[in-house]
Amino acid sequence: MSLQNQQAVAPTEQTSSAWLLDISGGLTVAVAAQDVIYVYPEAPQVFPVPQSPDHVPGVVNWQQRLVPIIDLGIYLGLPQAENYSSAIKVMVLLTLGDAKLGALALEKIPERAEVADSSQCELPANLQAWHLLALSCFMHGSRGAVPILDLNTVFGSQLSPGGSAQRVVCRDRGSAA
Amino acid sequence: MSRQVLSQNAEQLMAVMNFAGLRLAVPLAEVHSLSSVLDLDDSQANASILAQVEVNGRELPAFGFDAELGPLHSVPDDYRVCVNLGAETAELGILCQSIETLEQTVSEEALPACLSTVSSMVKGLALHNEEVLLCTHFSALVAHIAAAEQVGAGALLSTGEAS
Repeated sequence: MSLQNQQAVAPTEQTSSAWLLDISGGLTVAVAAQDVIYVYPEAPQVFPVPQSPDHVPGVVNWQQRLVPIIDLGIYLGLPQAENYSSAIKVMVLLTLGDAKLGALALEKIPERAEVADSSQCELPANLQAWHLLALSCFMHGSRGAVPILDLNTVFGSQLSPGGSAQRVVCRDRGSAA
Repeated sequence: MSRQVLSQNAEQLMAVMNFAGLRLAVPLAEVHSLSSVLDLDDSQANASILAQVEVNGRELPAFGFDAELGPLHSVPDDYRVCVNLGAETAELGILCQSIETLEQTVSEEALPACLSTVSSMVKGLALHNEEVLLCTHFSALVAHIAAAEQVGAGALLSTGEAS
């Protein structure tokens, strides 16, 4: 069951498992637990592709499959830490459906979380830029509002120059707690 | 799980051009001939066209790219080869350091949607002995050059019309 479609069941509220992903720029996003198929313990070799969008550092060879990598913090123009290195530290491999794969560049190793229906919330004003990228949003106890990614949009053509999604810039750093 | 990460084209023989460390593959069927950089005529070079190369009695525009696939405005000393490309007959030359023909066929996969930009000449990717090859083809090169340099486009198109 996907996170966005889960239904609360009273009286014991059911939860769905998710991964919390810390992207560059200090923002946390989430994907359904089943979307993550591998967490790279250390950054793999990245093959850059010239003339591709700035937020796509390249592709990675995963078991003879070429998988595109996206750095959402770069796409959103999130302010990077002063000591931020463009070298990818952590990466998570995701299934996009239809046997397609994608990878997200992260700042930290992902964390598991249980998400209840009752924690669903509106996208905060400072995250409105995510309306095309997020299926929904939930309130996390310590991280604040966490958008749940629409992976097919993130890895589709909408974010590329000329795509349907306008390039947006988040002026507020971090979570919206 | 199927291997349908990217839509795949049929396997084909490819030639790989070297640009200051970047390797760009084109279908071998589109490589018409090779010329030495010493045989080029740079007397009519302009902002986009590095030189002209004579192929079968026709003067064709020759272009060059750097390691980021940006256009070159002068010929680097280590660019020694002009690869004459065309779908049927040679239509343009691409200057590079060297070119090699891959012995085995390569299965090119279409570039993932998130990597695509309208003006990119890279249209596909392929794995070859653990190397990731950037793939293009003649029509993509023509479109890229036309988009990047109107002057080059005019020269290229007028050359094509004359054929």
